[in-house]
Parts: sequence; C-alpha cells; structure tokens
Amino acid sequence: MPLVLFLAFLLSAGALCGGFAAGGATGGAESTAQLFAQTEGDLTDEEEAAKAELEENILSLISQLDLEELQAYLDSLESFSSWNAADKIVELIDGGTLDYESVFSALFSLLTDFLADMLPAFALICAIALLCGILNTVKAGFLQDSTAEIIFFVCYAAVLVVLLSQTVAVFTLCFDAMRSVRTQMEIVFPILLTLMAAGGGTVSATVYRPAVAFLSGGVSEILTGIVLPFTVVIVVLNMVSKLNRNIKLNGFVSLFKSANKWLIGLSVAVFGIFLSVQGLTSAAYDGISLRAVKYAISNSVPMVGGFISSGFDLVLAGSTLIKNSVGMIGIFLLLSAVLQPIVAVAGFALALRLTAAVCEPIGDERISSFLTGLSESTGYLVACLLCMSFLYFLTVLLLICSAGVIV
Amino acid sequence: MKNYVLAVAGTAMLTAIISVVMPRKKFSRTIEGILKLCMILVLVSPLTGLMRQDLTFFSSESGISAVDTAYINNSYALATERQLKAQFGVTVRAEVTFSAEGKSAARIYILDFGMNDETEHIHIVSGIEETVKKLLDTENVEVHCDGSA
Repeated sequence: MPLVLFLAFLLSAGALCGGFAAGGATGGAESTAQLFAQTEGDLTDEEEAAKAELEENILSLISQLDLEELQAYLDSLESFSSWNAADKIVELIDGGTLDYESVFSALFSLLTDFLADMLPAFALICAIALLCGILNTVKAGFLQDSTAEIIFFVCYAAVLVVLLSQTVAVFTLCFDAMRSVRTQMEIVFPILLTLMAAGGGTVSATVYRPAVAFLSGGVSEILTGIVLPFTVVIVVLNMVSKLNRNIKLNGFVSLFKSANKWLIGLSVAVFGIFLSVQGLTSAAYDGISLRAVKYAISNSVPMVGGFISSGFDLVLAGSTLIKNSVGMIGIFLLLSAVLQPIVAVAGFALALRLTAAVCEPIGDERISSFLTGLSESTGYLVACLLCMSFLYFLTVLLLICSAGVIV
Repeated sequence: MKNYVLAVAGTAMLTAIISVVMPRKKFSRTIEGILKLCMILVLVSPLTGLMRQDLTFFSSESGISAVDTAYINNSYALATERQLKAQFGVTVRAEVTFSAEGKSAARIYILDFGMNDETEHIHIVSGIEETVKKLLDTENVEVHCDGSA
C-alpha cells in the first residue's frame, strides 16, 4: 500500500510538471486569462477590444452549453442548491475563487462532532470488555470452561450489537460517496470532453474518451463491485472468526485482503500511467496541428506584417477557459463529496484503535483483536475512496492542463 | 454478496453455539469436524458461480463519454465566422458539421461583403473557401454568396 501511494504521488507530480511546463511554454489560454484579470487601466485599446470580444464569445458559448445535468446535480446537494452553474463558470473566469475555507472548517467540526457521538458507544464497549476480563480472571475459582465461553459469547455479542450500527453507518457513508463521485464523473466528463474538442483538442478528446469510459465504468465497477464487497466480507469473517476458538478463518481474511491490495494497486498504476502518457502526447499533437494551420493561413494571406487577427483563436480560447472553470468546479465537488467520509472513517478507525488499546490489558484478547482487525479493514474504505478520487482528479487535471499545449 | 455474507455468518454462529452447548462426549469431535466441513462448503460456494458470471468493466460509449456535438459544431461555426470577419471583412453565417477524422463539412453563407468592391468578390469567395478548408482540415466546403441555402 505505501508503494502504491508513492507511485500515485510520482504520477501526479509528473503530470503536474508536464502540464505546467507545457502551459508555460506557450501561454495561450493563460495569457487570455491574464488579459481578463488585468484592470481596465492597464490595457491598450486593442487589448480592450480583444477582451470585450472574448467576454462576448464566452457568454455566447456558455449559453449554448448543455449544463442541465450539472445544474440538476447541484440542486440535489444541500450545500450547493443555491449555485447556478453558468454564473459560477463566468465568476471563475472573471477571477473569482471557490470557498475552500468553508469546506475545511466544516470538516474539522465534523471530526469533533463524530468523535463526540461515538464516545458513549466506545465507552460502553470498554465497560463490556472490562466485565468480560474480570469474569475470565475469576473463572478459575468457580466457573467451568464452557460457562466461561458462554459468558464471552454474550459479552462479544453485546460488543457487536453496539458496534454494528456505527460500522454500518460508516460503510453506508463510503458507498454513498463512491456513488456520488461516479455520478459526478458521468456529468462532468462529457462537458469537459465537449469543451476540449471545441477548443481545438480533437485528438486529445478522442484519446481521453475511452480512458474516461474505463475510469467511470471499469475502475469504479472494480472498486464498488469487488473491492468494497470484499471489504465487507473481511469485516464479517473477522467478526465470526472470534466467536469460537475452533473457527479459524484467518486464511480467508488474508486472501480477500491480498485481492483488495492487488486490485487497488493495479487500478491506480495501469490507469494512471496510461492516462498520463497518452494525454500529454495527444495534446502536443493538437497544439502542433493548430499552429501548422495558423502558419499556413498567415502565409497565404498577403497582409502587411504577415499577422492576421486571431478571431478563430479567441473562440477556441473561450472554450478552453470555460473548460478550465468547469474542471475547477468538478474538483471542488469531488473534495466536498469525499473529504467528509474520509474524515468519518479516519475518526472511526482512531476510536477503534484507542478502544482496542484500552481493552487489551484488561479484557479478552479476542475482543481487542477484533477491534484492531476492524480498524484495519476500514483502511480499505479509505483506499477505495482515495483511489477513485485520485484517478478522477488526475483525469480532470490532465484535461485542464492540456489547454496550455493546444492554444 | 449479501446472501453469501449472511450464510457465512449464520454458519459460524451455529458452529459457535453448538460448540458451546454440546456436552464433551466421544462424538463431540466428530460433530465439530462436520461443522467445520459445512463451514468450508459455505465459504467456497461462490467460486462455482464466479466462473459463469459476466462482469462488465466497460460502459457503452454513448453513456459516459458522449460529447455534445451540437455545441462543438456551433463553436466552430462561431470561430469560423469571427475569423472570416477579421480576415476578409465580410459578414457570414457558417454551418459546420465538425468531425475529428477530417470529414468535416462547412457551408458558408456570405451575408454582407462589407467595404469590398464587386470586382473583388470572386477573389474573396475563393479566399474564404481556402481559409475554411485549412481551418477545418476538410475539402467539403461550400460558399454561397446570396446568403441563403
């Protein structure tokens, strides 16, 4: 798992460096964005005219863009029901920013609230484990082994009853988050691909189409259809294997854990490497093709200075700016969807570890072993969320960064 | 999956309860062995069904990656109109059917020749045709001077 995360970090760093290097070399869409951000007093008359034309192009293009599904998704979310997709895109192009501070402050309060809600349940678990430990200690005096087993069985069942509601809530949160991320992919990717093709990146859009289809269909199916159910199986096997000393299921638990690690690792490695290499090379091809067209046109028109006004470029740049804004909105929605369950799972795992540590010296070792195993199993939930989020984030980032090479 | 998990949990619970309440006699080990065998059968039961399942990993192209072709066509039409306005000083209406495989098609309707003399019209029409062919990388370009189909 650490190797997979390190590999994922290298891929993202490489993609970012490639995207920004390519963007810095040409500065096409970025220069138009800077043109937008400059104050009116700094611009010449020609720049003012170009800026006005660009604004007119952008408003015209946004009015033609199909944002119904995106707006419907925003309306379904409580936190974003007041957002208007088209207005938000224009606001971002004009230099506005998204409110990341509110997301992070809400996360911190969520973590503290979550721990406060779980505290009574875990205190009860510690009390049950303490009782079980005391009874085990005194059993040698007057209890038979079978009676001690029954007492442990009852205490363990009580722990399960207390813990299952919390566990189901955490799992449900993660499943809902995965579904939400998949819905976002199905909404955002067609818009981004459309804007990429409209911005001159026809080859890039053709390359990215199967890749995003594989991400949304293949990778998400693997994670939601195989890895998450395997995680549920791991939790259940861990749970039942502690019921009786004769039930030995550690081999099966290891099998499913190993399968999860391989599936997550392969999904990140294969998709990430393929997407990074294909995406940047196709964007370079689009950029060269477009520059070849502009060179051919400028040389075929007999004008003084050999320079022609770039009406065609301004429209393409408008689509590129809209694409970048939609990408930023997509990333913001992704963070708002996955950070909450990740924090919840992290808090749950922390509470389990703490409880296991407290129960270990005083209670039955099977209870603390179960709590430790459960906290390890929740790691796969976080891994699934992070894997899907990272691949989605990487794809959106590459779709955004490709603009600097093309225009 | 839900049924599988319930079956495993149920078998394990049954095994545990029987192991606890069963008296320690000669047959207790036999019964424990049978219960373990049942547990193994329940655990490996999905493997037989796994080979017959058809897991789909790729969604259809028309679902996730369907692009808005109308937007792309309108965008290139707008870009072409702006380019021709800037390059030739003519007002045109463009209808573009864009294709990434070099099979795009364009119809240009010249609405107003602007400040250009009538003697230059024929050069402008040929210039527009050549420019649009290079912009859209296609040979399928029609230019209409009267502004209608």
